[in-house]
Amino acid sequence: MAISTQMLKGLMDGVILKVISKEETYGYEIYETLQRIGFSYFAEGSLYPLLLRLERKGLIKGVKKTSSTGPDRKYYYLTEEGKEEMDSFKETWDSFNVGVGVLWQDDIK
Amino acid sequence: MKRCVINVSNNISKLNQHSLEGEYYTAFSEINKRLSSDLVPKSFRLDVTSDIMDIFIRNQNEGKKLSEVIGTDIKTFISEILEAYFSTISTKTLIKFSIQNGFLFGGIFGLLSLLDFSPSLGTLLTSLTAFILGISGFLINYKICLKFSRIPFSWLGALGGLLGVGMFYVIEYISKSDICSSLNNPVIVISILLLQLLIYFLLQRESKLKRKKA
Repeated sequence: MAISTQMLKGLMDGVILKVISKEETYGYEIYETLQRIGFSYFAEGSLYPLLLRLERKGLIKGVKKTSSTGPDRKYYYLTEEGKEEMDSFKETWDSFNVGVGVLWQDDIK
Repeated sequence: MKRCVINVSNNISKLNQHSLEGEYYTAFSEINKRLSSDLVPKSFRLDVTSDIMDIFIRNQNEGKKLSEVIGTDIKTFISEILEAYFSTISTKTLIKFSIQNGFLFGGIFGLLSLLDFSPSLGTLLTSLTAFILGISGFLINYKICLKFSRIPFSWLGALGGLLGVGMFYVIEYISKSDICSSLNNPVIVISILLLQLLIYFLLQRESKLKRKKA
């Protein structure tokens, strides 16, 4: 099923913030985490504009670090504003989830 | 197969010394070209192209197709990057950029009018008109880029050209009018024009320093 771009963007912002909040991480690792938890329709490159937007909004910060074993990587971590946004997303998501759950529950009855 | 080394910046990463091939090379060149616009700051372009270079080189080395990596066509991918930039400009920054553009237009068109006409109040009116057009031109371009980020920048360039042609008609009209003779002090007129350019350079410098700090 095709997912609305706007809906996906809003959802992915929250999801990416949560992934980054767990530990400082880089683009490919975020992509792998997303694949593992079920966001398999996501291409690695399509994640980049989302990370860019979050970075420009000041919700995450990217720092390039040199690696002795491979190429340089840009590591992302959450800013204070990012933490607030993530909490706000979860709150909104929970309230939506309850509402949608109730509606579907009514269908079963 | 087309093969080329693309240096994005002098100090970004050693990855820039590697090469891109075939569709990766073409896509990267396209991204670089589309981001090479006055509306997108150089620092943003260098940052983005450096990140994309990393992604492309790694996936190219893994033998993946470009479409698997970006998940869409290159034009949509570029549109998403531009949208990420334009949708996150704060109102304060937008106002500052547009005023900066106004001073640039005001100073340049005022000085250009001196090629044909002697310094007068008409020059200052020309400069003021260019200042207003500079501000509105920037805001219009910004809106166009935000709404229709798939529009090639060459179209925006053509719009700018039309604006320039229009300005020369304004210059001619104002300079030929009687009002031109009411102020004939070239030092004051030229000082005002140079002051505008100075303000432009100061604002630009301030933006650069801010970006460096960030």
